[in-house]
Amino acid sequence: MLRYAVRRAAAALVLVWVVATLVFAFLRLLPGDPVLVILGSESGAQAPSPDQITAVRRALGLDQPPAQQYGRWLARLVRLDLGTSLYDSTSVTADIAQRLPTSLELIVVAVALAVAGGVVLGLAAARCRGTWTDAALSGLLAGGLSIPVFVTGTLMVLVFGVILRWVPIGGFVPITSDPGAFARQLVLPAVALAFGLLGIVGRITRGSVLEVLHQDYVRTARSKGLGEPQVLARHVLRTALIPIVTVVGVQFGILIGGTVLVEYIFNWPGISTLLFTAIQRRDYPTVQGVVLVTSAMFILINLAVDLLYAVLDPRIRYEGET
Amino acid sequence: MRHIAWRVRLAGAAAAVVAAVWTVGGAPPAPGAPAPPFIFGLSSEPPNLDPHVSNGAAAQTVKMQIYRGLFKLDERGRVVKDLVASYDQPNPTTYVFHLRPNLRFSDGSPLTSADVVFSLQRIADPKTGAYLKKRFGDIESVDAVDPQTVKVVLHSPDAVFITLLALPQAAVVSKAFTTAHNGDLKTATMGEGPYVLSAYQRGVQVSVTRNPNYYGAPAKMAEIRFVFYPDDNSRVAALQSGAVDMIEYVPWQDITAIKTNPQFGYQGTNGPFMYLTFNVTQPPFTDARVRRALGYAIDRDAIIKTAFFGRGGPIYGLPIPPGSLAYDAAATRYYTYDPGKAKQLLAEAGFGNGFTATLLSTAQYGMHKDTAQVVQQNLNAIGEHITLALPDWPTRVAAGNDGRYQFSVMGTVGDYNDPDFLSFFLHSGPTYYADSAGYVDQAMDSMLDQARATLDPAKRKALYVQIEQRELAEAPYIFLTWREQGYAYRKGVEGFHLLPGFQAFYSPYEFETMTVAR
Amino acid sequence: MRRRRPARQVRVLVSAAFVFLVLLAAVMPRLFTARDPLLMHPDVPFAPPGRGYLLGTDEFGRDLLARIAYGARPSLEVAAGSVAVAGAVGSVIGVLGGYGVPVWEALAMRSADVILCFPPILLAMMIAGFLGAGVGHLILIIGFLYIPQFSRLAFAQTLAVRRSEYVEAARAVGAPTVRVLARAIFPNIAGPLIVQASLSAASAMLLESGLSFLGLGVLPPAPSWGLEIATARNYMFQTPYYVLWPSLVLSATILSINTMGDALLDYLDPRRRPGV
Repeated sequence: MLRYAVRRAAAALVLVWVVATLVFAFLRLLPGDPVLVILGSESGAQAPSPDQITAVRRALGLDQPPAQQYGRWLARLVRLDLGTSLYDSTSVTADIAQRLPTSLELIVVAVALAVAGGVVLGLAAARCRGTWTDAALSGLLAGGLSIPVFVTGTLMVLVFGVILRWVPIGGFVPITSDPGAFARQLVLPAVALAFGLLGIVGRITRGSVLEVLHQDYVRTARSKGLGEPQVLARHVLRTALIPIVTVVGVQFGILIGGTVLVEYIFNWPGISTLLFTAIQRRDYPTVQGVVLVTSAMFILINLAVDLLYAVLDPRIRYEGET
Repeated sequence: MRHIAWRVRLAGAAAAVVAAVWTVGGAPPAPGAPAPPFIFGLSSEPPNLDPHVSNGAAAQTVKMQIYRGLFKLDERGRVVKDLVASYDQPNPTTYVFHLRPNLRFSDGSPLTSADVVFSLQRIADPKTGAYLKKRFGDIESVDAVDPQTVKVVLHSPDAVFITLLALPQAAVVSKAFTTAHNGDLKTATMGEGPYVLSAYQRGVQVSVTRNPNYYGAPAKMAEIRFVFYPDDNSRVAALQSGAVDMIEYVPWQDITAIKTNPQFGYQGTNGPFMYLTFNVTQPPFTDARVRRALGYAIDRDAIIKTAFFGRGGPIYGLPIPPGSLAYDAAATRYYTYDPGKAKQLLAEAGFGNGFTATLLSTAQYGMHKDTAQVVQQNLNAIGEHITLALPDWPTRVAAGNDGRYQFSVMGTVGDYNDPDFLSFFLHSGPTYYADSAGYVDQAMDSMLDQARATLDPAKRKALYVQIEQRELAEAPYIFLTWREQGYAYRKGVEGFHLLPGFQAFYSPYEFETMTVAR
Repeated sequence: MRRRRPARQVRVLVSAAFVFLVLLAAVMPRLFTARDPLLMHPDVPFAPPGRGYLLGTDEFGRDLLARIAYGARPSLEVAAGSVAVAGAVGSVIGVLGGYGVPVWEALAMRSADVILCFPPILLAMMIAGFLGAGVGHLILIIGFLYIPQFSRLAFAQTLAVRRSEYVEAARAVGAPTVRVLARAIFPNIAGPLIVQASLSAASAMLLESGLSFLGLGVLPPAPSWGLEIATARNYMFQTPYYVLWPSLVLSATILSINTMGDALLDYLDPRRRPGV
């Protein structure tokens, strides 16, 4: 087990480096020049002069050949320095340190809501398979993953924010300064984000549980006379958890990078909007830094998931050792 | 259906106001408690706070509270003295500015002519990336005659030089402070304006508080908090729910509802405008007749109705605001919506069977995208074959700067109401995405230079009329529509006057005299 | 004797019928409307339903029914195409990896990891930046992004099934690897893969609308449901039904696909049939 874990960890490190390098390369190939973005604005009537463009480019270190820029970036990386933003000279590390926890708070709560709700609903649907309850629940789950999150998000802002005024709109309050207000403003975006995920988890749960309900070892348990709840809990859920865990693991990673829409609509100052704006502005160091950090986190989560597999399903553990 | 949504929102807004008053205004403020801050909804987060760099109107709104320059604009858009107490002009190319006595930066350090000289030099330094670098490149010399006096000599007379000094991008910065920060003013600020940067929460908001060392009357509001609302709907919702006191960039679809809502005030004007640029070195747009044909082929009213919800006005000539020195009533009716005439012109130019072209715009800004769609529709309806290219903004800018396009949609606003702003478009220079690529007209260049260097208004007006006639005949651009831009605020906000024409974006100069009744 | 309740059969039939309608709209939109989805009527923007425009008009005065009918094709093309790409490539990688074929195992898990590390927006922006947006490129982008969903699932399922009796029996008989994979393993894992395919088709449509929202997807003036929703969102306060129509149609299509996927799952899985 330990050898397995160590091997995977080493592979993870290499993977992070590969991803970071690929992103570096791709960014340089993207059309669009950050210097022009910096020197202009959406309605800039004054043209920057060519010597301005050259000077700014040199000041930002963008006139060096890509290989050299890459070398410098790697050197900094080893010292755990992610560089400074091209756009506003702030430390990328500081930016990420500020924005990442905000996104994580949102994601963790959303995932918890979605998994809890999804498993419960999916289980219920599987148990009542073929009945109207199943139809209703499956319909609800399908609805959750059918409606785009930005539509539900905007609707929620309209209904709960403007009309009912149950929750505030924008004006972000960090958790450290006022936990109560923070919790209130977390509700809408977390629910909007959870809605889609809930549908996915619910359906996977339902499908998985249905799969497993007829497997050999379940029939064995049943024939031994074990009660239904015990059968469910001990055998069915345990193995059904594998695809659920897979999906959640996969979705978690996607969530980290993909909450742009929710963060945009609810003015939630997280890492997705930082990344998106940085891409729009061709702010290379910020994009590289964010992708590096998020991919490292994702790989870590994968590692945890893989190890969880091994714990959950003994059959896999021994195969992993060979 | 629209009425229902309307009433719901009105009820919601009313309920919101009641709720807000209930919770916030219920108890009288404790004696000595600080007044609540004035909350302003910004349309985007300022990328950085360097006053000499231009990075959007939202950033400028904040910078204008912290920094000031030799001149500024008053509530009617007239140039007035700010840091300058008086000035002389011994000859057309020489200005002598006398600073007010006892000027200080917000940390108490004195503001002297050395700082003014330093600021102008910083603008001229290519490394800064200053917006006014090219224009201030006309400056031959700047001297600090004594700590209160600055002498500026230009290469040639410039009718707009003082106007330029009134722009926020011409702010005076502290030599000592800037040098201590290696020339980097992106996040560190040291200004002399009515406010001082007090807090910056990245991604959320930036706050400014009253500057005790401001030379003028202390700002009426003690603190302004600028909260970032990049999403249009959220920004308007924040105003309606009472979360903010005032917003900028009211989305066009919401203007009518807010204007007719007694809970809110709104001031807007036609300032920015949309237009087409051409790459005149490539067919089919090498021929002025083809370009002029587009002026007749495009249904400007359709653009205003669809892209701007009716909030705007057509431009059938040049984007000269009424009241401007160069306003020529005849020039404003040069074009009409006449597809037949457009086809005729195209046939004359040899494109009777239509031409094929790609219209460059961007998917990133709705107003650009929508305008492009209408233009495409209009042209395809008279037999052309237009496809749209809608990359993201940096890609679009890069394509425009490299001249890699046939024709494109652009939107902008003039920097000042003086007709000299036309030189941005009509004067030849390096390829720039906001200008038509490859357009070089030496006769036009010399007329523009002459008009700028002439100080006599009557002579200038005559020149500009000529310039306009030439532009209309050559049509290096086709100007399409004005778009309305405005500010909305809740009742109780007093003292805000929108500056006219292009200068609407400089209205935040007035924040220091605004008050909020609670 | 099937124990299915009639409700279930009705649901499947209705779903199939709806999907057929949508397919029809994708192939022959003229059956649904004679109007041109690109034709603007600037005098009647946001017209309410009725009065000559069955579902109303959009911000340019274009007929919404036409926009939705013609919008079926790109949405379906993107969904089907990307799922086909991701499903084919991902399943192969996952099965080979799960079965223990050397190199493929590492490839399966690691390639999934690499792909998933890329924020979808970044990848979409890069490809759209080079090649321009459009249906074909969206299929590539989304297909590429969804490979891990299939490869990981196939991998996990193959692992679980590897030691089962069917597979052991096939190997004992000395069947070549390919045959074991095709005959014994694949049918047993096809179930979850099909559920995944229907989920992915649904989420591909959602992703397409998200990408269109960000300006990276199907570009105007061509209609697609995703783009319609993204545009209509801006006008939700003025005209709520503008966002309703494409949302309803999109949701209904996805729902139908999922329902059919379910039915297919029941049909394909021999162990799921009651009585076996």
